[in-house]
Amino acid sequence: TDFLFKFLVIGSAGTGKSCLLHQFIENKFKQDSNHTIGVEFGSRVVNVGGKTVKLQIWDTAGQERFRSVTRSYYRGAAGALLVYDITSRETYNALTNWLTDARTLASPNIVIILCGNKKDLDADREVTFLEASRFAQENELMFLETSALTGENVEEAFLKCARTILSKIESGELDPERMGSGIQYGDASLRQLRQPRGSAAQARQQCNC
Amino acid sequence: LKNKSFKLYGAVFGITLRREPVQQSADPTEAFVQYRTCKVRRLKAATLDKLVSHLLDPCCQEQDYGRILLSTYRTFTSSNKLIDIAVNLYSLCKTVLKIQLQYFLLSWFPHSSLWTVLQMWLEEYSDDLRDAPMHSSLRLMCLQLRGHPALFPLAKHYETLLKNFQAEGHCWIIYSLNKGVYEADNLADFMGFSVTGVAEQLTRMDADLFMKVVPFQCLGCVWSQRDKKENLSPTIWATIAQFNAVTNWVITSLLRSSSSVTQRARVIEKWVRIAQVCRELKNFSSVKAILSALQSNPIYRLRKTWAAVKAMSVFENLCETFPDENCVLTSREIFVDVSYEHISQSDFLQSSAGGTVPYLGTYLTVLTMLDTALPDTVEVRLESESCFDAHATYYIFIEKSVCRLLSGNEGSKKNADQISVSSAGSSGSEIEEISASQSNTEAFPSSSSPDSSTMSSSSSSSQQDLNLNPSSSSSSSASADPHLVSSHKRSVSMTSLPFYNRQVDGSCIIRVSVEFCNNGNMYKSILLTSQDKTAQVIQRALQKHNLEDVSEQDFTLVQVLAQGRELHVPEKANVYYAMSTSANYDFVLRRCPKGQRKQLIRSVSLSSGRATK
Repeated sequence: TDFLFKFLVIGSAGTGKSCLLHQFIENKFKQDSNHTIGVEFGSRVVNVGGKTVKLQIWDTAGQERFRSVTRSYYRGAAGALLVYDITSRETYNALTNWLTDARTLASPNIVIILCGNKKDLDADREVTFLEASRFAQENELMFLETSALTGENVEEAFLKCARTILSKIESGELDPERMGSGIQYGDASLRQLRQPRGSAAQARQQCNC
Repeated sequence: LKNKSFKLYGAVFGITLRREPVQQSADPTEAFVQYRTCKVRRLKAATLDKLVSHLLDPCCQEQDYGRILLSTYRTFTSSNKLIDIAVNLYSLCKTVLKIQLQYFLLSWFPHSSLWTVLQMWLEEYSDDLRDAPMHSSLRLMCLQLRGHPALFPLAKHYETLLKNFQAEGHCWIIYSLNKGVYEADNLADFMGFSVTGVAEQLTRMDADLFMKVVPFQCLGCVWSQRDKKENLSPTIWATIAQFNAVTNWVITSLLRSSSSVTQRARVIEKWVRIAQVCRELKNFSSVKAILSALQSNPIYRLRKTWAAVKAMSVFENLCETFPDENCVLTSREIFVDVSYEHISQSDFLQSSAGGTVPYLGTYLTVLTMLDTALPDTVEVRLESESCFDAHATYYIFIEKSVCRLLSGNEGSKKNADQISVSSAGSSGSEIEEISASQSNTEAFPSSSSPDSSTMSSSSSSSQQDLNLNPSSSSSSSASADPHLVSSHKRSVSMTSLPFYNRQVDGSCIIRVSVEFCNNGNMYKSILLTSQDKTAQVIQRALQKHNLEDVSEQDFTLVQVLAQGRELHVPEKANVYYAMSTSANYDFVLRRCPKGQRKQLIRSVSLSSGRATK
């Protein structure tokens, strides 16, 4: 892999964070419990713009009910999915708090995508698409409505976030070598470290995927 | 035939082969152990009726089945329904038998199995039946049992339980957290409290709440209120409320408008000292609460204050108590070894012999993840059947972690001897678990913690001594001293569970990834037994990687050694013996170059199997 990003999934309890994560990791692969030892989720390698990126995804999975999601959880995260439930205004109202925490406790450059989850429950909707996208715009967030149930936009949310981080690295806005950026180089990549962007083609060749 | 599943009248069974030691003469110094292989049938999924009738099946080979069901049935049904089905089924069987067999078998079927289950329910899961104030399921139980003369004695016991519950009244469900205590203080008061005084008071409250935790309420779907069920876990919520009350107290004590930087720094120092004492008291719940507050955004951003704090090293040291916030990453291994990898890094393990108040969040998180990841039902012929596999996993996790801690605490109050006995017994059943599982999910071999749980089935512990090394089998008599107990447990775990990077008892777990395959799966874990040939392992790995459409013949199995070296496992080798045990147990499936199916490039010296083409 070329890079390793630390990702967070944050948001109020009951918004479906763990389901989003599970949907993303298990993806289209059918579950075959016969051969599973343990639940293997937590990271996934994706291919973004010719680079292989390992996403290491942290999930609070219920701990947000305890006020225990703090500095040590956020530290060094490169990206985050900020999740609310479109059928619950309460979870939407809590977004500001989560956002403040993420921006101050993770790195200030953290790339955040807002996810309005449970898109499949449109009949019970309490937060409109328009309202949320305005919020996203004001706070410089990307925005998608997702459904962990159907899988709609789940992949996109993670990939979009990863893509943005990569482009920030390429434009020099993010420096992977800075401590706490949440970005690490994968094994083969040290060589490419300081090479000009022209070597991207070469990198693609090495990748074999 | 290692791992077949078959369906039978609304139930799916899994068949596994398992090796068990043959009982030999009682000489513990015997240098070898004989094994025999036997077939084990385990229920994997079934309709509710079938789940219950399996419970009453006297031929049921799964000793822990009753406990698994009783620990986890809440995920798919209610107590009332379970009682109804069990008793109705019992009556039905009796009637049928009366007619057909003329009382012939009545003495053992299904009377004894139902009796056992009901007794277990009464003794170990009675909290389930509390549901104050109406105690409806307990009433139903009494009523139902009254209908069957054979069950009268049990009915009496249940009635006594009902009376006890009624006598307790309603006070049980109300956890009045006296928030006034936290709010009334002003800064001067707080600084006047003694550090130990506060720590002890917190610990008393936390311990009180923790002792009341009812294990089933920890189930992921119950406590996290999946599907917005009403709150079924008051004991968990009481714990959470206490935790949050403590963090709020810490935060508010620091954010008074009047306080100066130095004053705030002194308050932080005081809280750090309180946390330190809580840690000494093994109250990890409060330690975590205080640390969370100090690391929260409103406090963390007070740069000047932090700069004025002395003894930062104590604070940082305390933070190390909770080494990794990221449960997702550890949960992969958490099944393999609940306490060894994950908890032993903190002080949990050494203190698990008694008197610990853990931070419950860690366990609840894992259970939530299990709830997310494991399917509740499987579709079989358009019939929805509860997926029991998943519940077995829950059970194992709950039993082995939460119950262990709970029983540890209770035991420490009563009698240290009891703990040691139960721990020795249960490690036996874990071993069973492991050998029974053979790459099958339900046992999650993995999931066993090396420590005690409340369960200890005598039959399993009787055969297990052979499995253990002499030192550990002797220690069951050893120890009133909790430290002895815990070190004993550790040694058991080291020698008897399948680990990554360790071959134990004819099995181990290897990690297999597929080269040039970028489907998002880094590696998959496979349980390897001493019976597995290369081809089988490759096939299993491909299946796990969801690559069923390719032929196993196109792949070779390669172990990745240190310094870029590799070990090519020959086609006909027994992987267990062929692999290098000194390296990491990391394997790669490599596609053979075109036209060169299974041509061995180079085989490093192997202990078994000739390297044939």
